[in-house]
Amino acid sequence: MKPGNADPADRSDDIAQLRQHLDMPDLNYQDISMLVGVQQALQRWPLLGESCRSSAQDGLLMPAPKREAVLP
Amino acid sequence: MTLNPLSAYAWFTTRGAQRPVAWLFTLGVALAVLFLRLESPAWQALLAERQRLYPQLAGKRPSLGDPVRVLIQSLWLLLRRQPLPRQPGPASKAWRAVRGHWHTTRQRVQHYRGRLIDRLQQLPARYRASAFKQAASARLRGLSVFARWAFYGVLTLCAFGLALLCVTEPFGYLAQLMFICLLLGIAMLVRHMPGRFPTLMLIVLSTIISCRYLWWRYTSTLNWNDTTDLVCGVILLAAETYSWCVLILGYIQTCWPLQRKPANLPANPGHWPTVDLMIPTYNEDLAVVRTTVLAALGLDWPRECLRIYILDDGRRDAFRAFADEVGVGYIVRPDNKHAKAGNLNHALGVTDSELIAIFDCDHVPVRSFLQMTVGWFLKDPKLALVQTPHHFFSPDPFERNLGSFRRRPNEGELFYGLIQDGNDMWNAAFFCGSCAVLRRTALQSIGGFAVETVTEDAHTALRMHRQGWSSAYLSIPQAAGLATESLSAHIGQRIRWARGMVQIFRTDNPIFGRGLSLFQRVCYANAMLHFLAGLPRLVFLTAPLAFLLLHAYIIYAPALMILLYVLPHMIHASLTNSRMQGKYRQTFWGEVYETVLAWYIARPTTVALFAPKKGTFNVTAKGGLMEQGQFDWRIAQPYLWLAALNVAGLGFAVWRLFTGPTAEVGTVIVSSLWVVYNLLIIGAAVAVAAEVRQVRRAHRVQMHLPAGLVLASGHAYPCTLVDYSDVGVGLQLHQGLALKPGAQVRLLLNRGQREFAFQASVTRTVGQHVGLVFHDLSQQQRIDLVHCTFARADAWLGWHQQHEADRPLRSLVEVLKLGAVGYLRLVEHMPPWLRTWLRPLRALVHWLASYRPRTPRPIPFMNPVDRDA
Amino acid sequence: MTSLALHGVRGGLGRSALLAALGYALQGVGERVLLIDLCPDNLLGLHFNLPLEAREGWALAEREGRPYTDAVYEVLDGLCLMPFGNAPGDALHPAADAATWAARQVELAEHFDWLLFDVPQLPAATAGHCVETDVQVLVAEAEMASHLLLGRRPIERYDLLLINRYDPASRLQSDLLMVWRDLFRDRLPLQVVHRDEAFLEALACKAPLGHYAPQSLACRDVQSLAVRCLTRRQS
Repeated sequence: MKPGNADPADRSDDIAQLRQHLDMPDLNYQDISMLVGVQQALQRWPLLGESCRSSAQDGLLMPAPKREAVLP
Repeated sequence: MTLNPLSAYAWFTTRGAQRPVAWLFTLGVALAVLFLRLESPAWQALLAERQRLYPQLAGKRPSLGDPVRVLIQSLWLLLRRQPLPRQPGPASKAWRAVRGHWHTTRQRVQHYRGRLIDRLQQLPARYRASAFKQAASARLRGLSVFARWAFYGVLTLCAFGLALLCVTEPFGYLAQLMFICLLLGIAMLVRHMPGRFPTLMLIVLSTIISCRYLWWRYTSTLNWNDTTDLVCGVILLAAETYSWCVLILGYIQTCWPLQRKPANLPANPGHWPTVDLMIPTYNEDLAVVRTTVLAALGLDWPRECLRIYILDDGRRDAFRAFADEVGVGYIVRPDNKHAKAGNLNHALGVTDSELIAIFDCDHVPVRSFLQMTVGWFLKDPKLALVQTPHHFFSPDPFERNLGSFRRRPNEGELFYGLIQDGNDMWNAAFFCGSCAVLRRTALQSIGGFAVETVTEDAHTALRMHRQGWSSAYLSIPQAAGLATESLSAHIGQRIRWARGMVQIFRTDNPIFGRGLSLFQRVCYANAMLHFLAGLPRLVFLTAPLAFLLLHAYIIYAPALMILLYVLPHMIHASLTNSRMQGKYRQTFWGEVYETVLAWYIARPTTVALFAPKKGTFNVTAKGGLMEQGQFDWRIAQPYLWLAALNVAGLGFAVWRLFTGPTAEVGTVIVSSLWVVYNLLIIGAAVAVAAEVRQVRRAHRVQMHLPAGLVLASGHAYPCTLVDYSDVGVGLQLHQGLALKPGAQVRLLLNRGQREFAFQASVTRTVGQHVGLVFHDLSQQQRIDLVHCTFARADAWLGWHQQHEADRPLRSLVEVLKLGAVGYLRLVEHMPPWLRTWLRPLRALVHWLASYRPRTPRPIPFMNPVDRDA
Repeated sequence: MTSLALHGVRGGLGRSALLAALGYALQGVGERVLLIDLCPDNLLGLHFNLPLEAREGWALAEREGRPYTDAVYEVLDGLCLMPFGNAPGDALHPAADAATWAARQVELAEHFDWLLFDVPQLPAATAGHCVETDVQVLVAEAEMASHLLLGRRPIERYDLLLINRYDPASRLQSDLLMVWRDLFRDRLPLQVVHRDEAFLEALACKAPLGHYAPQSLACRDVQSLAVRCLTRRQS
């Protein structure tokens, strides 16, 4: 299910708008601020961090592998 | 209506009549009642219609002159036929038939024109798909390399020969007329075709016509027998040669804009290079710098690869405290040598990242800035610079004073929209001082930023190009800032640029010296020549006066011949430029911009041309506000003198028309038209000098973005964010939701896939429009807020899509109208002493005008006679 | 015809109210919708102003040997409702199994564009659901229990993760949503419905959200959910 054009959330996604403006749907964009936020969240809430670590080992919930490089 | 003398007195006095006047008029009413049959239907009808038939008296205070006004208006009404539906006579019948015919013919012509345009628009695509093209290109491919070269060589030779013939062959009136009609016809057809080759075709046509014009001017329009004629003629010819050079160089520069796209970065951010982001500041407000720093802190770049520095030449404690608070670097140096360039050079010495991003402290980067720009550095190891446009979210003085903000491309858009993209094609895009990323090794290879001139940016780029580095330009607005807010500051900035560019032209001339390709030389030369436009512009503004005042034949040729040469030259240049630049600058607006600057850059550029070492650095003042509307007399002064001169020229024209020889009538008329055009362009420049009041300190950016609002009760509503500044936002609510000022709310804003909530309170409500201010935001929330507004990746995209399309003729009319508006504003802003001086005159004119008879409004469906019947 | 069911990672996530609102939103864009209550609690009808003591329902009809279609109420033009039903004395139990409902879906297909099932919350250990649908939406709230239970769900089975009662001002909620977006990117699309008082008030007024508070933020969220459902059907 991809969001349709009528979805107002689509208009507020600035990166989607940028891709559309550039006419580059395959533009590789990394939302670093979100990745940093995720890292901070995992540190802030111990249970969350623990669950993500254990599920990463289980392979059930696979966190994105790219994130390791962006640790602050 | 019934008239009686008793009520008449009261009627007159309540309308503000003075007592004697009221007495006199009451007497008149009494006489009228006595001697006229006012109760008759005709009189009654007239009295009932008096408001309509005597509009000048409606609601006016009764005064002694009124009987005269009534008399004049009555005579006028008697003489003038009532605007009634007339019975068509034979003449008007014939006229109507002719008009009907003409109308249908016009419709038919328009129909065929539309079809022709459709066909022309499809032509390039059809040609590309045609068998002829396929066969021709197959044959060409089949040829050997030598044969192909020979073929192209012969073709080029023939084309050159033909062009030479077209340029140099002298024609009589008729031949010239045929020639220009032919070329204009081709141009008018070609301009409807889409694509770049038709643009090149237009360029070729315009070049031929302009070269022919210049050739003709050099060979047959100088009067060698008269010194005055010759001196004036040569000055004008020099100015025209300059314009010709700029025109042709401009065509080369922008004929094939590259329109580069961003290059993708490696998927693993661990391989991305380190970046030092430098924000040089000298005397700007912390409020201005704060937004920039907060935006920089949220840039989407790995945190360990991005270091942000404030380079404070003002050495202010508040800045140091702020830098510590938000955790960015703060660099100061012992002296302020070489201003901004020196500041950056000092910072280069104490930092070590691979890349350096530079932002003026009032340019707010959007979060995608680095990911858009850095990709090219990884792709091209010789790339030294990626520049992005300077975008302004507040109106510059031109836009504010002419009311064209976001409706029409602004002054800078031509440069950032087209010229830099054209430069990029020739690997000559240059550094503009801000919103750019540079490679440290490239900077080190030229010994840091150039400090010799006042425009260190262009000079730095020139040096890097000389060293064999390349540059890139990305025409995506990825940062925005405040425009200069007063005309004098704007002009001050342009003077600095002009002086600096001319300094480079003298000290490190791009045309000579080693290391540059031919086209890089062309691009740099044109950029610098562009700033020498001051003197030539002044020459054009005064040239017709040479004939009208001094009787010098500046163009020694018959008036008709001049028209046959000049007009096509101008028309072709306008058509071609409209096609190439229309999106970025509307036709004839360049004249206005240039005229405003002409006087002010004429002197510094000339000085810099002869003494390049002179000149000081001045900082552009930004972020202030205009307390009240005012007219910048100091700026407008030279233009008022020019206007006065031109008006005098018009006076001379009238004199010459009546007393001069009949052979000169044509020349006088052509000169007068030129003078009128000049007057209107000067008027437009004067219009810019009337500064419009600027109310808010924090400029509000218009926006249209979905948002959410959560009330204290727990109810949430969608709304639309319509404007924002760094302190508050404006929302558009839907019907039925009312908020009181002071109410506490939470604003929900989206950015990317994330949503943020900000605590705010309502400050004002006007209809469905609500203003909010934020309070108690944490550091992270302030960064988030900036990133939901100023630093959104799409914040500045698509602004030019709102601009009206360029149509040269309409644009001309608008510029000329603006000229008239300029003189009106001049009258509005006249100084008080002059106004008191002129007041009696104005009063006299008004008083006399009040006697003027007026045409009554026609009654739409019936006339008084019908109603009475 | 498309069938859809909302499954919760746990109970008490407001799925009935969501389903009622979604049905109303789909009807609002011109779809023919049937809402089917499979919960013995028999609460769905209350969202559409059925009397509290109304007993009619498909389970009751089934037990009394009448056809299950007896229990269809047309509450609005193009919006029909099939309550579970309620019997005096002893409680009804969901007699019909997945196979029965699969057959019934085929029967109902020509009359409706959408069949929306309000399914009971089953223990996570229970294999399978009582009904198979085309669109399976997993509902969660941005809190730790949901997060942990979510980890035990086979998320490939679902088409959408719906986060109900989301409040961006809560740090934990926004952090969790961010972590989920990162975890499920490219695997499971997310849709957020904001916490909105209007949602609770709607049931108190016995109306679906779109009817009670058409201007509310939650209603707009449900509408965009409806748009997603429609685009999914077209694709």
